[in-house]
Amino acid sequence: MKNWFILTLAAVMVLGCQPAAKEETGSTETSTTASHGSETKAPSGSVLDKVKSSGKVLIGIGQDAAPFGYRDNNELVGFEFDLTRAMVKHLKDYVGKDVEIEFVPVTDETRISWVQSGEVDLSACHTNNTRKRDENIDFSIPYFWDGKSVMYRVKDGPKDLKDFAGKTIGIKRSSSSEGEIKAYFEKQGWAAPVLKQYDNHAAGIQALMDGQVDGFTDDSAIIINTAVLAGNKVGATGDLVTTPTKYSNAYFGLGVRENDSDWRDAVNYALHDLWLSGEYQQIYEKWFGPNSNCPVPLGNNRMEPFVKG
Amino acid sequence: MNWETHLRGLMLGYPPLPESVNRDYPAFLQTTGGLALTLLITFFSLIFGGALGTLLGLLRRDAPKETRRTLLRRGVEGGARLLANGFVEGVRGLPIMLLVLLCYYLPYPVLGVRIPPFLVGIFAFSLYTGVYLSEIVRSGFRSIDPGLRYAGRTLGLPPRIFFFKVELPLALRAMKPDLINLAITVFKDTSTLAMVGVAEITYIGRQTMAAHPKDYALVLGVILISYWVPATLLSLFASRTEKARFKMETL
Repeated sequence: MKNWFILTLAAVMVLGCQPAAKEETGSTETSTTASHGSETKAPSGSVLDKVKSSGKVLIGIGQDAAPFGYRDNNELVGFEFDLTRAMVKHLKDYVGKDVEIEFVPVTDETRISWVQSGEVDLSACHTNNTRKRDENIDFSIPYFWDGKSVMYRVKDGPKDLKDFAGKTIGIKRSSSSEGEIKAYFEKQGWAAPVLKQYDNHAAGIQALMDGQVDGFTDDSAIIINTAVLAGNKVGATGDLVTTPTKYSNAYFGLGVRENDSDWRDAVNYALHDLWLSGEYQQIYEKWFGPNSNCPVPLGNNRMEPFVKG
Repeated sequence: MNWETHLRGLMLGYPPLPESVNRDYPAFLQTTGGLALTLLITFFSLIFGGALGTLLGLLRRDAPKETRRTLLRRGVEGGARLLANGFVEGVRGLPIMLLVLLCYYLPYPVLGVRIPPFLVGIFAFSLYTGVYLSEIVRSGFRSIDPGLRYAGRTLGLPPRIFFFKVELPLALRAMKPDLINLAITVFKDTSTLAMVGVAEITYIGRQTMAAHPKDYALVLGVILISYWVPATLLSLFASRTEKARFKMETL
């Protein structure tokens, strides 16, 4: 009996020194995953070096916010898909060779953390550049300029932001709107609105149509587009309309790894070249021009370098 | 109105962008979606989980001990059993949703490996199947009367022949209803994978409903039928063979 006990202990200790119990018994699965080639952990060097050696750039891309990235009649389309595809062509000049794209779907929860962990090289997911987010990742120069307003039902009569004091407003989960709208209302000395979170913009717009909330807020371009795609008419003579005043400006930036200026420069230069070549303006016209679902005048916004050369 | 596109998406998934396909992995798993992917993930999970579960179950089964075992063999068997027990208890205590989340979020920070969503699904559900199957296998062997073993030995049957010709068929017969039950459970629970963006039918359904809020009843109806029909067919098939066997035995 005693011998048996000692031998068992010895066996447990020997087996315990193997990597882990999971790998020991789960060998059927681990071998299938390993046999298809695995990528090594993000190197400590610049992402630029990694892209150079692999010839591939991993772009984390949002898929549920029109018109930036969304599914339209079975196809994934959007401003950010077009923008990153065109940008990566210019990236060639700074990487030194042709670069392939691999799109990795990200959600509003993973768009920051996956850049941080190195799971994606670049994140294009309608991300507002905020200082809080800048603590964890860096941002490229802005590639889209918008503001945040509140959308409401036309039949409730004309409204502006102050009419929503103390009212119920729907917002999108993980959006920076939550902090911004609270701060704005507090600064104005208005009663804080009651915020109700929704999983995606479409659900929020539906809740607004159903009367569950008095308004729905996020980046104007996204909420207007989502409302239009859901079959609503947006405008003073339609079903839904946004407040004339915006409580926050939004600058969309591509997320890149923190403190990696080689990579950020390459991305920024590629964006400059996109602007200088005129491709940016074409893509912008397609998604935000006068004939789009949601015209957003470009105004004085520029993506060109101060001095090139 | 556009129910044809909805139906196609729900059954086969939406075609992915060429840039979304990870070249390190087989393309057909990444270009398939909807009910087809649900079935594929169930299939692979049952295969891999079946191997894992059989192994774990055999390690953990409480068969009468051979009297003449060397000390080394006793030690190895005891150690393997302890490991298998630890593994089963470790995984069985986790809700399936947590298991899926762990398989989705951990590989990169811990191992530095990027695993595409469909593999996360196969991996998580293989573990899930394996652990539950091991208990089924164990109880299947428990159901066998120890007297049979003595009878076998008295007749001079070698242990291997006894295992394959007597023990295994009887154990399988006892396990069958539970096996079918497990297969149905795994098939339905793959819907958890919608959480991490595996393009199986529930995920596609949620995306379609988000894009076309007016068609939500239709989409939900199709999803309902897609889960219900295969599950019911499987249990019908099982009960039919059960009945046939029962008749034969009572004759």
